[in-house]
Amino acid sequence: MDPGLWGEIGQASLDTVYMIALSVLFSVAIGGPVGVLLVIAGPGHLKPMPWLYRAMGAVVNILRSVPFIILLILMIPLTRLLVGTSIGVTAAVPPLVASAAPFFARLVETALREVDRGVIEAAQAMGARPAQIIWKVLLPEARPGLVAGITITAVNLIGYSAMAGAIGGGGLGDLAVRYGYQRFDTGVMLLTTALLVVFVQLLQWAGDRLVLHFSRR
Amino acid sequence: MIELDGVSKEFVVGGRAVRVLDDVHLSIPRGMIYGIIGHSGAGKSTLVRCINLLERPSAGRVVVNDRELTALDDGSLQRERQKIGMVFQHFNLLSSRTAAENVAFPLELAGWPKDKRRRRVEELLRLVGLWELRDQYPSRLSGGQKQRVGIARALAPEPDVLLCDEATSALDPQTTESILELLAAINRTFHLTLVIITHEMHVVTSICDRVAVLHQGRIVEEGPVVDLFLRPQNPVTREFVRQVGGREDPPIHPAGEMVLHCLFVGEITHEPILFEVAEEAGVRFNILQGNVGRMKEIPYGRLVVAVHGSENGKTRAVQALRNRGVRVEEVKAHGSGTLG
Repeated sequence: MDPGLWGEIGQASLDTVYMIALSVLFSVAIGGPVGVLLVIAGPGHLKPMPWLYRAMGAVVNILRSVPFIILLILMIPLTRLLVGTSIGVTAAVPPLVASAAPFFARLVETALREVDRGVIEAAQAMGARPAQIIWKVLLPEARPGLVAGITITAVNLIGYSAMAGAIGGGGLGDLAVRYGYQRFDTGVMLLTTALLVVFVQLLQWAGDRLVLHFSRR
Repeated sequence: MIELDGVSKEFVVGGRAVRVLDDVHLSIPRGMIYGIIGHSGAGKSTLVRCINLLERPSAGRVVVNDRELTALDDGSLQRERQKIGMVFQHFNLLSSRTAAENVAFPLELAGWPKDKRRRRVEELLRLVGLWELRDQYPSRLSGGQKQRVGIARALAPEPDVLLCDEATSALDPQTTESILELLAAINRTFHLTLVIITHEMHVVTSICDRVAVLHQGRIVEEGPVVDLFLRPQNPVTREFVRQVGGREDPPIHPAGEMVLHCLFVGEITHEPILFEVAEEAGVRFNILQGNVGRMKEIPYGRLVVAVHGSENGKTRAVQALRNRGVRVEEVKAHGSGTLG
């Protein structure tokens, strides 16, 4: 293997970390509130808003049913608008977020629905406002589920980022495709795949530790 | 303190309206422990939730502490609710908070400053005897301990009213006793109005002053616990009274004898009334059945006696008993329905 390749692998690893970090951040920032709304706007919950609930549910379902590789292409005009280019590491972030945010929203929804209705009722009986119930009851009580959701989303994003690499996104996936697939360099392909496996293991391990910490209570 | 005026509640289940509460009128005076008893499905939980408007009545008015809750907007209602504590059957503690943090929760909602909050939490955890367990999470506490945290939490913002929805139903008998003692002590110490929802008559007889019997969404009987316990009118009430052995089997009725059912309530329980009346009327009593007990602080006795003597003496004996405040009823042979 060409020694110069190590530098490239190092750069690709950093690119992957950068892509994942940025997309997790935006997915949580967008998917989180959507997930909360999907719960509280639902029938019989804190603030039933049937229209918003149905519209948001539809958007989430549509985004989740478009295959990621198609989404990558469909997003190109919007990506250009947002980051000024449609190739490179940063340009991979918008399609990644468009795919992961709705997924995370559903995970948040599931986690919040697990919160005991009796506890919500108790907070209402104490005179809690809806915002207080969200911040002081729903989110803290669902913390283990939320952390697990972030972990699952991040792991999914690692897989997707490799796919984003295929259309010039950069990162380890891009490297694997360029050397491994296009130049038949099996060594580089195996190495990058091994690195991705290590990333996933690390993330999952850290996430599980956090979940355990929060659910000991 | 609490007025329910023609409160009805309907739920729509599968397109059909089901009436859970039907024109309920209740008036609960300040400082009283008021029991609401009924079978499951009678509407008890809905009724108590109508007091703090967790359920909004379909019709009727709810007035708590001179404020008509049914007329308030959401913001004002939320402020009023801080003065109405609530204790739940399944405790409903926040699992992500320690005992102390759970008690502090309503104070955070009400915007108490931190050091004032800390003092109040300590005061309450000491009151319910859980100061040593302040840093434990609910998952590490027993049912009784969780309910003590629940009670401390409900009391934290210094409410005027405490609503207890089956607060002891998930607890074993011994723990139930200790929780009931705690509730009675709270009522005495802070002159708090307590509303106790239960399906267990012994909860009512051990701490309540007044009780309402709820059946199929209607109040079928209401009054002081002693009265309802000793003379239940409605079949549902009789059934509850039977739960605590308040109403016995038909007494042994010796042929041809006069048998009296005598109720002693209050101070007269301590006096040698039968002896005095026997001397005065020249009759002899033979005690067939009897029990003596206590409802909250009120002692009561129940005796079924056969009276031996002249017809004249028997009449005088009945009169003498009544003059002393004993409730007397003659029991006819084979009659079981005359006892209340």
